Amino acid sequence: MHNIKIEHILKHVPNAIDLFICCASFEDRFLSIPKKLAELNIKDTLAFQVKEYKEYSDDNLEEFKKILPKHLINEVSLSDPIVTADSLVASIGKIQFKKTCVIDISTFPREILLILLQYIDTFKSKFGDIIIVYTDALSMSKWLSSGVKEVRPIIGYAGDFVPSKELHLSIILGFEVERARAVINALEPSIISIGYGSENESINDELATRNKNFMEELESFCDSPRVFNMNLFDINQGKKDIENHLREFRNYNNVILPLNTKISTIAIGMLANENKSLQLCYTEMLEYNTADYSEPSDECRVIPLEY
Amino acid sequence: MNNPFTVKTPESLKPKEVADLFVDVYNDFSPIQDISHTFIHGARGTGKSMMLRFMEPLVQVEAKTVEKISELEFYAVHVPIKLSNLNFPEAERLKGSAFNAMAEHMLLMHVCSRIFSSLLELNVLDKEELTKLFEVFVQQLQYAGGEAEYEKGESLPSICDKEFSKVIQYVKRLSFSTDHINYQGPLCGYIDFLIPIIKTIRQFNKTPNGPLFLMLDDADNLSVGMQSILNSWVSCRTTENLCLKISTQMRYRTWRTTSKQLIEAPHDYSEVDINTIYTSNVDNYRKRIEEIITKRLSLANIDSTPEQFFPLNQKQESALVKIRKEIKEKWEKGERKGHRSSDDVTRYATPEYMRRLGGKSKSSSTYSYAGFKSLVNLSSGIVRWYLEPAARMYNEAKIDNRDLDCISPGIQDKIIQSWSEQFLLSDFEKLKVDETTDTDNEASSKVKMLYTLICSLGGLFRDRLMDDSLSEQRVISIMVKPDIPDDLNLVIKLGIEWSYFHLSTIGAKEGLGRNKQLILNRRLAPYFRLDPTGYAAYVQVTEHDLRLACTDTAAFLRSRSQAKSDDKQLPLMSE
Repeated sequence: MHNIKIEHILKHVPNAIDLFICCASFEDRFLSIPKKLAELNIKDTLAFQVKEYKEYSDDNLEEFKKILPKHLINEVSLSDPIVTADSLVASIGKIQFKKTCVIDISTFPREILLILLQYIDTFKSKFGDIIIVYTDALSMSKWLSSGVKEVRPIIGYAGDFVPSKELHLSIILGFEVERARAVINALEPSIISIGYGSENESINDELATRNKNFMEELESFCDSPRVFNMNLFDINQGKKDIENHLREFRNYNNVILPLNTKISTIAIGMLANENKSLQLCYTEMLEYNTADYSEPSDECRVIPLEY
Repeated sequence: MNNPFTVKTPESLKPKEVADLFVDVYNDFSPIQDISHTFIHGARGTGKSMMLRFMEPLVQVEAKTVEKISELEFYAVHVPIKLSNLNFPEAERLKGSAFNAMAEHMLLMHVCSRIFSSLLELNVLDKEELTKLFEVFVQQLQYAGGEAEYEKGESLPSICDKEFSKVIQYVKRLSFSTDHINYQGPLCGYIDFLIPIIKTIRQFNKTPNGPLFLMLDDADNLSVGMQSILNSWVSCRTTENLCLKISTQMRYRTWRTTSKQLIEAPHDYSEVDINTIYTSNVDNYRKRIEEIITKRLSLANIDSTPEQFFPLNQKQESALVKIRKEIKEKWEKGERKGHRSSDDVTRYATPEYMRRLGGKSKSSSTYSYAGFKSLVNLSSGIVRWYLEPAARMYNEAKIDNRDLDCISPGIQDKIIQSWSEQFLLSDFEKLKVDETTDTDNEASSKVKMLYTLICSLGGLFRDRLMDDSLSEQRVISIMVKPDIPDDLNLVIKLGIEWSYFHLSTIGAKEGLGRNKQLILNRRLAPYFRLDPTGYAAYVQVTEHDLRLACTDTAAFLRSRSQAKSDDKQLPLMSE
């Protein structure tokens, strides 16, 4: 899937959209695509707002309300996934839609995005075509989040644990090594696999150094962590990549921790919806870099969701 | 050759590997093998899981503590509790007795799967006994509402896994449902289901003689609700047949049962705190590490003692010997602070050396932390914190040298410095960027306050080390008087949870009660350039000081530099 300029996005989405879903954020790229989509005929707009970071996203949300005046705002929670699940049922459940749904995943926290995906999978008969849109980040801050508060399975992705089997943890590693470390410490898996972006996907020097240091650290307390490549920007290919890697670990309880792009997170969610034995987990953080998380790019991606 | 110091997850080790690696520590923690319910508390890496695994029958046979399994005084079954196994957010939709019943059943199926897997591994049951066990289990399951029939050929662990899976499938259906969903499967309880099965197992000819020790490892991974259920089990008088050995990483959240009764030591259970035992008895801990490293070197066919394999920096040691001699001579001439010359030598030699490094040569960063004893100190009572950097040192040293008989001080220092930095900076690096960002909310964040507190204390202890006018210079702890304020307790609690501090208590000089002593983790000594060997002394600070330490390091250090004369000290403890 190639990047397109946001100013050209209207050529790649339907003229009439039954439902537009997004998640309010302190990140400015929350507004990038809505500003353009506002030129279309959108029947219903649903914006979720994370209650723990309400005060940091209120300004952007006020701007959003002016861009798309016909909207519904619903609270979701980073601390209580039941609140998120109930919010999806209460909000999406109310809306009558038939054909086309566009979801801007740019600023969804990964757990909430995956719960949304699980909702779609559970109530798929209510949905028609679904298109994912995503604004790239021009740059990301050196730190994104700090302090792991809790590690937990994601609601809807409990997996199918067999007490007598050993645990294999796959981490799709991004910038946030602290989160990876916390999950390894919490789960103490028998085997660890680390997934990286494919070779042709850009990686900056800082990220390369961080990941190298992390691998050295891993080697001091686990035998031969496995390494594999995963396409981070193509849902179908990404799904295949991780599925292929997991073939070797059929006799393990498999847990996956997605820490890279939102698109790769969706690929993992799609795989877990097909293979119900997979568990997905999440790290709730104490703090996010609300002041300087990212800078939006003028490019985006438009991806039809096949489900 | 494999790295002899690699830390492996204890549950992935084979019985022989556990037997080979384990060093007997039970004298340090005697209640663990008593016929009682026991809680075993210790930070990650203190060796709890190895201790529990060593008690397993096959490991005991490999270690030759007994010849036959039936000679064992207890039958230990290791049950690791992972966050991923038993903690499902969906389950929070169930409340009260519905949650308790479902959660207890899930925990029991998990436990039974492990018990039966263990029994099959032991391979001590004859066909008749296996049949009897199958019948008892199925009967109990049917009483609890299970299926009318189970296939006779199916293994018991497999039936438990299936019943466990049924509960997970039910829990998953709760994800988006606010309506009541019926649960159709069995619901088993501790007394009515598990105890009869344990009694049956105990009757068999070749199973261990005494009660079953159910070793629930990392029980703080259970939800609060499940911890209450476990506490209800603890409150039951079942130790004749079943003793619960429950390990935690100091994050166990409730001591109440499902009926809100408190369980208490020693009435309901005995308790062991590994951290406290090893940080208060340094000699014992050092001895244990020496035994562990000696064993690992031997298994790797490396013919060196731990002190030989991790040598100290000889140039630094020669300089220290010279300084010790100078101090002794000064004491004999009457320039004395302690009662004995050895007191002054112990207290002042290393600080004096560090001051000289920081003087004309400005080479304070070249203080070497190499050497077995130094590495033991830096590991702060946590075995893993010796092994992990040792494993990295080994990997680094191996690059240049295939036949390794020691790790050079240079490599030791390089790794230990990086390991110390990583402990602090990898979690807090971003806050360095934050210092230039001026938002009100940053100041109030717990994480930032914790980072500031750690830097404040590190700076305070470094300042003291550099001041030769003080009678006690090697300090790594504070005592807050009268007490830690409530709002800062959360910051301290976070620091303890993340292992930056250890909390202890000291008897109040006024004779009333005890005061809290906050001890900085020695792993941070290289980062702040401290002497990790100081154990006895502390700096007394007020609530105001503590608050300042959490918000403004520079102001705190300025304030403390005025107050040095008020600092108290304890008598020197022998080392």
